[in-house]
Amino acid sequence: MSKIEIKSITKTFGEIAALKEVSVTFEENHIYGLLGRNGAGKTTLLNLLTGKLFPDSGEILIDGERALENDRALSKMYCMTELNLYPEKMRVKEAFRWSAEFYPDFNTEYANSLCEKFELKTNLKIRNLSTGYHSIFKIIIALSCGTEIVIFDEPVLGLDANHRELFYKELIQNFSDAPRTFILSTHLIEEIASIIDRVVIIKNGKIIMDDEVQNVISMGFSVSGSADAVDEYIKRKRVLGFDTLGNFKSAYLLGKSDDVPSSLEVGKLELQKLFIQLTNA
Amino acid sequence: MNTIKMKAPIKYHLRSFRKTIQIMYLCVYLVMLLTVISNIFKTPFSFESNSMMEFVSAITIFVIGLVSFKEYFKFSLANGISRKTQFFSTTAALGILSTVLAFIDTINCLIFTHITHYCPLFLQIYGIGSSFSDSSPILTPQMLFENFLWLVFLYFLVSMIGLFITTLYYRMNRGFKIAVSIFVPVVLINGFEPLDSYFFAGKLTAVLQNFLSVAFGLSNGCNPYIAMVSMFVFAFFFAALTYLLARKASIKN
Repeated sequence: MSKIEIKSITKTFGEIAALKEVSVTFEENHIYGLLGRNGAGKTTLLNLLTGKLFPDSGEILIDGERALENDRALSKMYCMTELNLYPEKMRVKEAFRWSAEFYPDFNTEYANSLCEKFELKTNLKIRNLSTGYHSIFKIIIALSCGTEIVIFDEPVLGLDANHRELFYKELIQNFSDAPRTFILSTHLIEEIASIIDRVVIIKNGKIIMDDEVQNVISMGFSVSGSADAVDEYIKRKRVLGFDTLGNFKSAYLLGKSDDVPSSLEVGKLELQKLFIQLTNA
Repeated sequence: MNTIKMKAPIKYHLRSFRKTIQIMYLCVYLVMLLTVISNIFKTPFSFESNSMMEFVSAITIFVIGLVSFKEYFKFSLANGISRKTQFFSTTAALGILSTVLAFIDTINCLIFTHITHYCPLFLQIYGIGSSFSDSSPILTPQMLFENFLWLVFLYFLVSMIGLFITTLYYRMNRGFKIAVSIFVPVVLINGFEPLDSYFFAGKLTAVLQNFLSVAFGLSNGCNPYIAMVSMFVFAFFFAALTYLLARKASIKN
């Protein structure tokens, strides 16, 4: 099982600092959600992790070994990126065959079964795949590669609701069958909130949260009820945000829900609401 | 560098070269067939290009070198291959391809000299360049062996030049690419001779000619082994430059 340690990584592009002294550890056998707004530094972090970019300073260790230009460390990871890194003329089935060459634990049978589920034709050339099927193609390789660390950078780009649902289902099944480290970087927080067990939030190139989802959610709560009752209750509280529908209002707050009046319904804090609050300021 | 990790990249390279090589040899054999037919029927059409095959192979492997970086670089990064392994596997694959092409071309030479009026490029330069106009040369085992070795080094050198150019272009930004694409051909084709005449009274051209003559073993008689050593040194030089460029290459959108 593999553990990733990122130590004081800094990466700049010209004048822009994409990552500033970032330190974070991805422990084995967890499903991580790597969250951040556009341009926060998520993709840069993942590209550094998988050796696609070089850091200005700092180091990345996989099981205590330096990952940079280290074949052994790199072979423990597979990263599905937004970019197409596969030759456009290559057919899907050829890509599977080569993946099996590069990753000895690649499960071709499983990849083909996923192709059937997602209705991906393996005879198609990669350049002829739609955006959605391009994502599906990369998802299938990532799920089948058998590496100890699997990274998904915007995995559901262009996927319809049915395929997204199928992906999440397969991801959970895959994790249950062979627990390892999954890192999911996505903007669809609500959809992955129930899948991930740890969350890492990046803001402006810095890690602002690295915790278990349960701990994060227990940082606050939601209250729902009539708008007047909710407004009255949230006075002098730390409010993350609220939704209003006619006279019905839901508010998301930080803190404990001990003093909530019986006229209001108490619910769990939504990860997305907390994320918006944390990354808006 | 992980030698186990190199197997798959080398295999990938060789598989991707296969189609190009098949098409090239199909063209070579078709042209040779045409030459043989034209000789049989003694039509006015006459095919006098007697070192065509080696030139075609050299150009093909140069082009293969040119296309061996960008796509493979991205594919390798997707598959967890370090840049060092990428470089060594590409170099090894081009070395294997050079050897295979040199071997096929040497066998082809042997066949072609029997069926048509053909003189290998190697012999035109180092052997019987002046006496092949009437008939094909008789190739001795030593000639064939030297021809093979010389071709291996030639093909490897041109493939390394191709690889270096494509890696250099990958590392340059758009402005540099345009500047180099315009400036280098203009200077080499139109500017070199006038500049040399104006500033050095033609000495630069003479030095260059002398250098190439020595490097290719043509200064004191004909010694192909000097050329082989020189080509290996040049290939090593371009390979080293390529490695320096490739080792810090990053993924581009």
